[in-house]
Amino acid sequence: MNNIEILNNDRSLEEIRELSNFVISETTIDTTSHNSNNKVLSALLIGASLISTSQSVQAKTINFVEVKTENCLKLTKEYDNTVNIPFTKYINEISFTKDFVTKHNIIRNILSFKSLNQSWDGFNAIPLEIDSATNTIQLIDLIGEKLFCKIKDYYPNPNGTISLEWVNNLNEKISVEVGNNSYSYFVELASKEVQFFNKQKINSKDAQILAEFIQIL
Amino acid sequence: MLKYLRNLFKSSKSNKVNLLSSEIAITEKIARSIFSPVNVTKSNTLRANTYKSPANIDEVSVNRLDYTTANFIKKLSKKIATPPKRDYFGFAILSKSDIIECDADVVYSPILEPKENLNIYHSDIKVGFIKEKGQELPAEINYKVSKLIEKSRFYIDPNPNTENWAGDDLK
Repeated sequence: MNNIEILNNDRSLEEIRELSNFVISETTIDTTSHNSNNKVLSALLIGASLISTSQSVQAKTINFVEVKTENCLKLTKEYDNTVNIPFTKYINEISFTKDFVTKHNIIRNILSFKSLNQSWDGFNAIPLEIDSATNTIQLIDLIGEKLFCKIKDYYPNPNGTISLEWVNNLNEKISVEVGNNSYSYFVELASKEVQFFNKQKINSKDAQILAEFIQIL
Repeated sequence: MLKYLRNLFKSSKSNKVNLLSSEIAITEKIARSIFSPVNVTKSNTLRANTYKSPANIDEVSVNRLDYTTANFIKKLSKKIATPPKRDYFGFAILSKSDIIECDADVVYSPILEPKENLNIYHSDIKVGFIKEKGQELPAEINYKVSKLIEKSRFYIDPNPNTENWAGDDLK
């Protein structure tokens, strides 16, 4: 049975081209050159989404068409008719965009922080607090998935809270920390003094202000 | 009698621990151990939780690099690593002046007990706020922490699985 993995990585096109065994051109990846004893196909894509599937695939080549979207390489695939239906369905469900963040992924990752052990950082950190997790998920809904999913990074903190960061190409930043009862954030824009917001409530009124800042970014 | 006294002197001498000066010089290099994936993003940049304390204390454990070696700190770091969930990854280096410029402080806090954890190079970065479990940091403190991150020189260990540091000089 063959497996296909499409690996997400932040490599540049030049780095991908160095892996000449796999990449024929910037849009076509040759799968037949892979080790025949190991039928796992590993395709390195620029800005593709990380998926792995144990579905059976016998595609010979996968062609990708670049779509003219700024900062985004959108890829579609053509395949021969041996690719089976589950894989097809899987491909149709994912988006080959550089910023592949969905509400589902965020929630899944946030919940995974809850399973961190005591002292997960080696210095007595506690696992994620349930209320901090719940508040963060609620904040996603209040801000809106579309804006929220422009997030650059999110991670747990040693005292059980979660941090969320939005950063743009000018290195302007919004950094939020969500706790059990409220959240705080600072907004650092190039043209203005840093602004600080503390003890924000998990409600639409406060979230609206945060959303506006994220939009400006 | 003389033999007894000599042995007593030897034993008290061997128990003596030579501590460093409690005053940390402004130019001293301070090293924070970095672990993956908790402290680093996918693109291998530092996360702000690198310089955040656990609940109820304002202490971020670091070491005074000028008095010890990267190998020693690496050994300490690997001791508390729990791969694969928490892999030793490298070091973040700040000088005391960097820390002061971010309106934070670093104080000497050697670890003397238990003996197996003896570390006379240990110090703590303090950001000036003690938070409770589940309480978010004030935005101003988070901003301070973000500046510590910006000032940090991040050195990824090219060979984390070996005993010795083989990366660039830590500056």
